[in-house]
Amino acid sequence: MGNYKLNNKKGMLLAEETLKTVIAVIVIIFLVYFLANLYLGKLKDDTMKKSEQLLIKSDQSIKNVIDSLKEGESKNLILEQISDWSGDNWNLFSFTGNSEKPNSCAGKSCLCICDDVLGADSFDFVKQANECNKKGVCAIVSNLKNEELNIELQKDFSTEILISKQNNEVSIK
Amino acid sequence: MKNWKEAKKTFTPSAFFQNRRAELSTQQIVLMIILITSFAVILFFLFRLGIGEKSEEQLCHNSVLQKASVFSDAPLQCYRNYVCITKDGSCEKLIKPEKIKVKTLDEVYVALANEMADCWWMFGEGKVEYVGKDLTKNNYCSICSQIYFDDSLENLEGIENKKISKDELYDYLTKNEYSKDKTYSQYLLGTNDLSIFKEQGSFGNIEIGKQYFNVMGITSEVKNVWTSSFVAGSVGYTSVGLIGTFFGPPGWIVSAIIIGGSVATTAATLTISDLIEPEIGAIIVQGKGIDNQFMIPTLQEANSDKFKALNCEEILSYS
Repeated sequence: MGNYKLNNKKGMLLAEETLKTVIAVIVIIFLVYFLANLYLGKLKDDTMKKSEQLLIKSDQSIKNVIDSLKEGESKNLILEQISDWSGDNWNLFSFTGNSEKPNSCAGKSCLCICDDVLGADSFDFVKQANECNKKGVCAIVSNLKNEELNIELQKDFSTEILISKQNNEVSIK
Repeated sequence: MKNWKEAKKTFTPSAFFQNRRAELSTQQIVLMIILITSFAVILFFLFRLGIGEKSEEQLCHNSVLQKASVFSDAPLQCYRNYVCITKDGSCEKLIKPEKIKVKTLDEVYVALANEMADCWWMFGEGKVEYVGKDLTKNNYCSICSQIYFDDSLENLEGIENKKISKDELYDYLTKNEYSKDKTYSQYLLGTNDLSIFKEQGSFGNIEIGKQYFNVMGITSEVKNVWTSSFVAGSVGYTSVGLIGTFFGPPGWIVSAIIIGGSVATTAATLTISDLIEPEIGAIIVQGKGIDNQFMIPTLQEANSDKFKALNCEEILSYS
């Protein structure tokens, strides 16, 4: 009888300790998740701001250069590298024609800066549009030439692009 | 009394703690299970009811009020909402939008009226000055939502040539209640009398299969540009003009932005008769208790010439 009581008591203690441990682990996981999100959110914000500057907001942004181009003109532009929190480089993409497009393109042809989901070898418009929609910056360029564009904004290198306007169509190389 | 004495006799501190520990641990487990289950149920309902979307609207509204109440450089926390109005539930042109399923044309109007009213509420109903005394830019717009009219809507009764009449939408606003004592039109414009616009022309149409911005705007306090300038493009390009500064207008209406293809070349000489197929692009109202003027929420095709003709110098909301 005495043995039974002792064993039972140990069992209850074990349950209590296990419960405490489980709660502690849950709380720690939640805390780590919360802090990591906070930190990554800030890094994501920085990457988005840089992309926004490069694509839309700065005086020499891609969008502003395109808007200032006259028929037959072309202009070189040096793009700085953009990478996200994990060090992955972001790319400059075009979405034209009837392909799937990020929401902010509003169904029009557009340029986007976002992470490359598949690597340079293959290009899946649906997956890439989803990625750019989730985490990226886009600018509508209605008269963008219907050609696939996937330019890596390389680490430690400045990427040079040539923007030209011919027959009211904007082409980027 | 006897029972109590008996109980006192059998009570020992060690037995008490043993019992208490065992009971507590069972209690804890039950409590934990109840708590976790309740939390899961609450989360489920939060997601099901779409309260997240409402809280985004609330967040935007609060940031607008904050901007007005204290001298704050904090940006507005207003994000564009992506909405798809569909009959069959399909929506190919937007990624994970908020879908509104409709069965009749009236339900389309309900959805649009609510989007316009929500937008007006989020940005302070014309009572809040949230741009400051900016001397460089004058017309600030906010795109509250981007609405895609799915192809399936063309089968709805009352829709002809894939077009939804905005005139009928404005009629709907004057005839239907936003709250107990106000129609949508009274809420947005302060009046149900839109006859003044009907004399000037049409509000145009919404084309099915296209995406539209639900956009509203505010002028800076310094210049009320929407009422003091014409912006004209070159021949054939969409232009903007203003009809009337209505003297003694109903409600708070100041004027309407007229857009259309231009055959005139100079802003100074441009008149409504110079515009090809002129239509009312938006209505301007006087702010309540403030000097700013407001463009009430209006629907214009995303990134179209008609949208550009609204002359928004900066978009305050995020995409």
